[in-house]
Amino acid sequence: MPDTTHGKSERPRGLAGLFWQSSDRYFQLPKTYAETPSPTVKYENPLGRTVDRLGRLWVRLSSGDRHPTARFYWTVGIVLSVITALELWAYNWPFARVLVNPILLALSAVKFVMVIGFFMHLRFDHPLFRALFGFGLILAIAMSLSLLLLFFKLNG
Amino acid sequence: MWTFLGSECMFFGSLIATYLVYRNQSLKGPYPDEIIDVPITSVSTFVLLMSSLAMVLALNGIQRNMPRLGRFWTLMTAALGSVFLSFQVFEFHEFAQEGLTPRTNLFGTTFFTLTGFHGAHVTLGVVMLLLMAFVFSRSNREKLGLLLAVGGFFAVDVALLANWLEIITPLIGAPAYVIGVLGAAALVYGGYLLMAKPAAVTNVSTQAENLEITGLYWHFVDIVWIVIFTVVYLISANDGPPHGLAG
Repeated sequence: MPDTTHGKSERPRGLAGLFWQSSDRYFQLPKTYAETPSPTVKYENPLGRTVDRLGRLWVRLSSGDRHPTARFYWTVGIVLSVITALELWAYNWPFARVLVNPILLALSAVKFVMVIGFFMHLRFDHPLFRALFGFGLILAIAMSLSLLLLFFKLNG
Repeated sequence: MWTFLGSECMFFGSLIATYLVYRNQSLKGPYPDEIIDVPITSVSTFVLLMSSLAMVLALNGIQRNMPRLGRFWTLMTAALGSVFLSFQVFEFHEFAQEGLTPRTNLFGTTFFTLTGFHGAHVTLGVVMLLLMAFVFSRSNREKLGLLLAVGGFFAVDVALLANWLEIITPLIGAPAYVIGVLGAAALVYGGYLLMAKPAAVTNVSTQAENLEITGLYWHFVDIVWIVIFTVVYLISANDGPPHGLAG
């Protein structure tokens, strides 16, 4: 993404320089129109223009001004429905049953993140909200795993 | 709200962990592979997922200062939530018929505790949504329409469930049909009244904020169900008796 804010850093040498963006963030898409760079700005990395175009397309689909559009929400809803159908398909999958549970957990995680990020608009919100929710979530996962490990150890 | 939802993560995390700890530990049936019906639960999961979509569309409508659209999607969210609850009532009833209650075995205890608490959260969410829809209705005509539509919807819902599951004896057969038809008529007439152009909302940002907070709670209930559906239904549905007892 082109430099729109500070322009402080210089392009690093070697491989790291290939995907470098002057915002110091690799491939981070803009979140609102306000962050959409002017198309006249010079791009600094080989994929910069493509990545930036994709970013702006994403923003156009997702942000009317500050909030995503109804069309974006419908798209997310359809994707979530397709993932649910995939889960059902994976549940009935007759081969390599050992892979089924990891696939189901992965699909569930994708749905979870999509609802939090887009429907609960955590992606568009203040980082403090992400921290508040993330803290509880990480604590819950850690607590659950500890409980499971403890009981499996006790039961041999 | 985010702090509250973070604490709710720990609440449901502990319930899910407890379910997993006691998974495959029941000494007597019914076991999950005998009673869990994944296709039916998939439909109810889809309904809850669509209610989340309706919720964001409601918020989107209010933020764009389109109160009628916002109210329509708010009511649609509450309706889909109620349909989800009806599926849960149906499932609990079927399980009870098969002999699984919270007292039967460890599976029954952990399953009913987890899904029961989730159902209680959904019920609270439906009440919050209906209150929000009432706030968006300003004129007497709209309020009457809302009461008729909501009352009619629940009358149809309860009549159908009571007749189908035969859980409320006085409502089986003809009384259920009468209540269902009256409820449907009230729903249609209430919907007609609600189609009136609502009075302009002056405090859009406050209304949007209130709905946003309600929406966050509703989406949280949805993500909890995403985990429950995967862990309790898809992954555990084929669980039988513990290895020592099998055969």
